[in-house]
Amino acid sequence: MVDESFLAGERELTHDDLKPYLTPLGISVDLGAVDERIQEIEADDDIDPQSSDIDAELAPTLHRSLSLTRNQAADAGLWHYLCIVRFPDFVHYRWDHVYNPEKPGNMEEKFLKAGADIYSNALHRLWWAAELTYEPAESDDPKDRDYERTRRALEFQELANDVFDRWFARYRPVATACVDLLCHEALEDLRGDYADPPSNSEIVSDTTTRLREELTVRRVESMDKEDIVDTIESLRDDVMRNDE
Amino acid sequence: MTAEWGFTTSRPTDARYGDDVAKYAMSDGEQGLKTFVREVLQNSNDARLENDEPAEVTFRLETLEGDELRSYLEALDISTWSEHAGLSGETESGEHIVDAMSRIEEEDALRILTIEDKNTAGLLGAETADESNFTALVRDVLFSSKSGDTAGGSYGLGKAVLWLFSGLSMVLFNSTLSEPDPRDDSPRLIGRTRLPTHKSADGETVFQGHGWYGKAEESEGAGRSRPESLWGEAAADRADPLRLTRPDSSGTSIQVVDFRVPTAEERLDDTELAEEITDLTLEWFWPAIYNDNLKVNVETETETREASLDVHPKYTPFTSCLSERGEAVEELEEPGDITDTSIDLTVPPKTGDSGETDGELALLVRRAQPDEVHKRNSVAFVRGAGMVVEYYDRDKIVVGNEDFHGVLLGGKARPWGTGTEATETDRVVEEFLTAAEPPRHNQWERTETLANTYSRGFKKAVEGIKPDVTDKLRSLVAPNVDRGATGPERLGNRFKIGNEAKSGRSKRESPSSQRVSGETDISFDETYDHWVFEGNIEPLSDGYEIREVTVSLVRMGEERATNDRLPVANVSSNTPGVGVSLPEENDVQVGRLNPSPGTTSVTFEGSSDLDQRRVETRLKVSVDIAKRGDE
Repeated sequence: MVDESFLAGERELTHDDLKPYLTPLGISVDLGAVDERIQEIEADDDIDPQSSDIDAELAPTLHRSLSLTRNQAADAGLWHYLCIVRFPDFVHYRWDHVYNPEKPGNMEEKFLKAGADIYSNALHRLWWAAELTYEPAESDDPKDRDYERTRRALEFQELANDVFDRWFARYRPVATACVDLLCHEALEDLRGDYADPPSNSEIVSDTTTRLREELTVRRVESMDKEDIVDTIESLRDDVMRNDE
Repeated sequence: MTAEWGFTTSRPTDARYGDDVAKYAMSDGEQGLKTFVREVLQNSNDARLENDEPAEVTFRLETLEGDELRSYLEALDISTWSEHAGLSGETESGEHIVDAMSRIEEEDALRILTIEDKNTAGLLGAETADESNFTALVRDVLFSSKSGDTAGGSYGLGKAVLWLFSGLSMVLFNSTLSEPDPRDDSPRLIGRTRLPTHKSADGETVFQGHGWYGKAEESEGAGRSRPESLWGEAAADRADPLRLTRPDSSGTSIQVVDFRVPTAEERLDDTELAEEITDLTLEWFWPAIYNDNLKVNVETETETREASLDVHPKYTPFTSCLSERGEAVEELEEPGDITDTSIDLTVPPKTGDSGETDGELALLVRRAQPDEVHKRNSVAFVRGAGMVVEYYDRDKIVVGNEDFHGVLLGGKARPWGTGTEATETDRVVEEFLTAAEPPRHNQWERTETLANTYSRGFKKAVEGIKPDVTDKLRSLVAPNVDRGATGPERLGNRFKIGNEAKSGRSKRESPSSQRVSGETDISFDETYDHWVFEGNIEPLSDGYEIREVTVSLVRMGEERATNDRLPVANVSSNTPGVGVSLPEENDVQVGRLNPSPGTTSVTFEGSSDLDQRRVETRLKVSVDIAKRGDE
């Protein structure tokens, strides 16, 4: 059903079209806040269509509204439904630039991937990015949670790509440390300490590559928070010093 | 005689200074107290007179308040200085200085740190000398005139830390000279401040920013003047309210006004600072203290601490290497045992000269007692200056190694503890190692000075020191290993890491495509810290020959291969008629084999560049084949 004309935005799929394939999940969520936020984002002249700023702006609301356990979030059908039936306009608004009739897979994954792949489906990726980086509040009220780190990660696309699309991101201490140590703000603070540091994007790309390599000989789950921070700081230092 | 501040003027078109470049060159991301203590003590250590007495250094921390503060500030001609500082508030560093002034006024308190040394040369040399202790420490930027090839500093950058640690960017000097150069009426008193370039209140005059405190005197050029040193009685009279009175010995007192640690989150109190200065002194200067060349005290208003190795025995494992060197043994069997071995260092000739020098460094290793945990498993690198250049951390060099402390003695330090004197060769090594130290003197590495002074071979010499130390240590501290003639090599075999299973060797079938077959093997050689690989290739079908084989080393990531490649350092082949080369692909060196026509089977072997990171690495072999006889 998700064919070329759907991917091209020429055809819609409704709840009724998909009815024979839908299974109730037994959870109920209010998506009003997400609708509202998408409208605000689309109306905001400072946020360009298809920019990563959209991710940074929507992820907190989406995660607050969708109070799911990780187990529930692993159900790919939920995300397929949300992208195909509930928010297809949003998916197009954010991702139309990747549509290429010769390579339909690029657009298809924005609607259809999910499950263990946490960084492809247009909404699933935002939910996971927030899940892995938000700061829980003392109260149980999702409104009190702090999503500043999520914003920092998602508004710097290179950082979001290089963290959430890697295995290590599934371990929250690594995801949070990567964002804290490699976001624009952190790098700008350090820049003056180095003679000729590479660009922020290069620092992020090279540091996370070295981290991936480091994790071929160390088990990330056996590292404590301090060890993780020390390791990333040391790799980042090598990169900023242009040390081979 | 009155003393006053004077500021050098410049033309409106001259370069402007927002701050002092040397401060930034020195700070290099590390503005903590360590750099300060190392630089200050190195200055005094280098200036020690050539006699049997140590250079004596006292760090004195004082906080001035109330009347005491007012008479100090009056003696300092603070009103003239403040007028200029107030005009420099436009730049960031100027703003900090203005903030510091208001803080002092508000708190009615000022902390000063005076570093007084004795049995040192003092600030010798005329105000206008080209090269002298005076001009190097007080006047010039980025010049150095330290004498002798043993001097710790050789860039003239170190002194910049003095101003960096002054909230007002102001430093005063009072010196008793060891010889009458340029005058015989010591003491000699002068102050310097480094403010950003600023204009007079009426906007007519541009001041370059360098200010001098001393006797006002017209110097060359109309309207330009800078105060010069006060001498004799005039200097002594002024030194008294400035708390810079000299003891009866040659040397220099340096005062950092409004002393602060630039990177400290909170202002440390005097006791905390004194403790830290004492600790850092011992950490970096235990060799000079042990050799009685340096004595350091740290005074606060309530107590005096001596940086004594007896009082603070943390460094005994290192000093024992020297004191018990005569009783060295062959193998480290018991805690406390010491071995005395050497590392070769071939010093290339200087540019234009010929003939290299076969020198050596002494490596003393002592097996640690169970309770000796401080700096365990590190090697202190030391040369004749008596300062520890670096602690080379070699923790867990071999799985399950015995704990140890090591000292690597280079240059004039090599014979320490043997009762013999340094040789001419040691002096050549000393000079080489000095040139191998960057401005902060915190390691031996390839520097511009080395490149400018020595012929080819300096890189190999200086970069070979650490791997050689590592090899030696492995053979000394590895557990349960037969330390026979082939010690390091045997260890290398035992502790190889392969790639597939992350331990042990790995064999992979069919490396290139479906058209060739063969076997490859890659493993990590711990002896030389690089990967070694070998393989053989032949086409699957008869009638084909091999045209080209390219070998590259791919670094793996957690989930799949990365785009990162490790350079192939060398490749060779036992197959007759195979040409080998090391071209670059995507900026990384690969191994290339070009067999002669008709070759149907190729073997190869080779190794990677040094790889300190030791992450999982795989061998990628790409093979071009063609039908036999095709062009």
